[in-house]
Amino acid sequence: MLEVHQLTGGYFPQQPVIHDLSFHVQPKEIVCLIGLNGAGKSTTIKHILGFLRPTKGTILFDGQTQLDHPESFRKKIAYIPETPYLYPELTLKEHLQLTAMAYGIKKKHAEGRMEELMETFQMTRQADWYPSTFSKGMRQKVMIMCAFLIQPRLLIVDEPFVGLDPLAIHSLLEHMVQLKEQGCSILLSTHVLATAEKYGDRFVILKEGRIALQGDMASMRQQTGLDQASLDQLFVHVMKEGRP
Amino acid sequence: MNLRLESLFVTRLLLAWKKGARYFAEIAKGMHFFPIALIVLIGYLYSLLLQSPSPMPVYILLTVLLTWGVSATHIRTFLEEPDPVFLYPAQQHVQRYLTQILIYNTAVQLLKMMVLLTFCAKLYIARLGDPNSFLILTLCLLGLKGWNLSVHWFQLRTPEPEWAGFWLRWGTNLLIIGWLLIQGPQPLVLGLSAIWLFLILGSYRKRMNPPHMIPWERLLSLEQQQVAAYYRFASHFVDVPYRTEEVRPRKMWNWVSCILPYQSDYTYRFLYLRTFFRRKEPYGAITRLTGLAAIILAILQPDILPACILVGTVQLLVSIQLPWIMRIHRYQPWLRLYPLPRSQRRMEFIRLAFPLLGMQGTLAALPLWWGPLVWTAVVATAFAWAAAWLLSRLHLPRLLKGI
Repeated sequence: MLEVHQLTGGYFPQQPVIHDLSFHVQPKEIVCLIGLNGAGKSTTIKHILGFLRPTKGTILFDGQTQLDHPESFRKKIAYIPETPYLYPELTLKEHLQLTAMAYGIKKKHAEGRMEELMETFQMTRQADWYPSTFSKGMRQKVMIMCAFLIQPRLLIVDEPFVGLDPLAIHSLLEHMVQLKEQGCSILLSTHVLATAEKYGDRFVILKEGRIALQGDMASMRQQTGLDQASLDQLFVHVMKEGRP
Repeated sequence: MNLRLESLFVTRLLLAWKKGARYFAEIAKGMHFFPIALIVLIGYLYSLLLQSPSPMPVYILLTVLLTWGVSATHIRTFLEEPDPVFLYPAQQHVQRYLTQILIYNTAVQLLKMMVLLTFCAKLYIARLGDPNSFLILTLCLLGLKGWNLSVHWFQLRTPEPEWAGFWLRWGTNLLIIGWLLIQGPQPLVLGLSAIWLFLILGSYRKRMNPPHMIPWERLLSLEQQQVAAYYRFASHFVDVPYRTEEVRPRKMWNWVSCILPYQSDYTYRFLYLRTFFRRKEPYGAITRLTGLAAIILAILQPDILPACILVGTVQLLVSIQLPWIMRIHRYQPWLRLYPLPRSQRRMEFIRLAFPLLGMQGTLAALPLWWGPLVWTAVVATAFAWAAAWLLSRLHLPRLLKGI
């Protein structure tokens, strides 16, 4: 289970972007991180991944912190970033091979999974292509395939739908559901609220770096007093709250 | 800055020259050893050619050098990525901008050609012809340079692959220059060449897209390649923050990349080896250095000590370049996410550097095996591997501190 407790942090210690965030993601659960641009979603993710050091608070996964057990902590996590970061000198297949090697996945097992994933995401023909020839969506697919190759215990997905074709979005969601059923915890940051509502079990709505609302749909409706409200309506309500 | 469309080209040109001057000043301040050594070496080889008993090497060298000088037409456009969007409504200004690109590049290319011809003048007059024939040759080559630039420019605006025009130009230049140097500037040679050049030029002009179809992607990519090349050059001497690297899938080396075992202990070597073989640099620089050393050893066929010193010096220079293949990945998020100890990055790099440096030294010493003293070759090769071990175990770990 991922536990974020009273997390405060940002890019500079004197200028925190997120304040006192506390939430958790249990196994077999999809938690959606929602907020306006600049609300602190990506900053929160960067803290969980260990790219940024918190000024306050703790982040635990299965009771371990990244600082104490860096290798075993990272081995359980897969990340799909908003911007696809690829090695220009590696082909698609080599990206998958490198990921498999880094995570110690046996060659035979990895090769089977690679074929399967490339087929699912319609990338078999591009196996030996270099990223310079890929569209934004194809680059994103490489990131997604690398993440699913690992079969992680915690999957962190940052705005994954931008640039993906409808079939790829369908496959991504299908794989996420499969992983969830296998016991994976999933933290999904997205602006596509209809998809979040359909697939998310719980929601964390961020506003200016603080949690404005969190819980499942029923509990959020109760907290806001908006019965029958959709996630979209709840989000708009929370964002407008406190405005003149 | 108040930017006017009428003066956009001139504004960008001045900015680019200012930046270039700043880098030049930084490089000059460094008083680097390598360019000075290169100038001395070129001077020495030049004097050897002036005294060589046969004019053949001079014919070959001048043909290659002048063909390269005439054919290499690097066009700077000073275009920027947002231009296709922001300049879209200003077609008239864009056409004017394109004309300015052509005028500027013609002037720069002709100037570069003049510098090259000045360099070759003494050699030509001493070994191949008289001052009058050199003057005619100069005029012919300046004309040929202008033709190359026009064909390249027209070709950018035709819907055909660049490689076709590339080979056509280089082949034409090689034939005409070889002919001019061997036969001299005779009317028959000049007449036939002129007809051929006009035919090609006319054919390209005919196939050009209409003026409103601007090849933005090609022009932008040209500019990016040019800027990247300048930054790459500067990065050999000073720290360059904007350095971008081109990827060249050198398929002939794929087999080397595939011999690594498929284990997590080899993860970074898997990456670094591909970075080494597939990025344009430092592979290019290392190949040039190795080639230069091999040529010097082939020409001079020195004794054991100077041969070892040369091989060792080249290996030392390569070892300075090599950490770049590790440094380029410093800010990649994946390396920070892989569940591998941080120290493994450095360890794997050192383990890779040893065979790379050893092979590089062996290749540099290769010409010695065909020389009169086989023992020199044996010792120089053994020395190359010993130096590779020392450099990778003692020198590189110090260079890698902080990466």
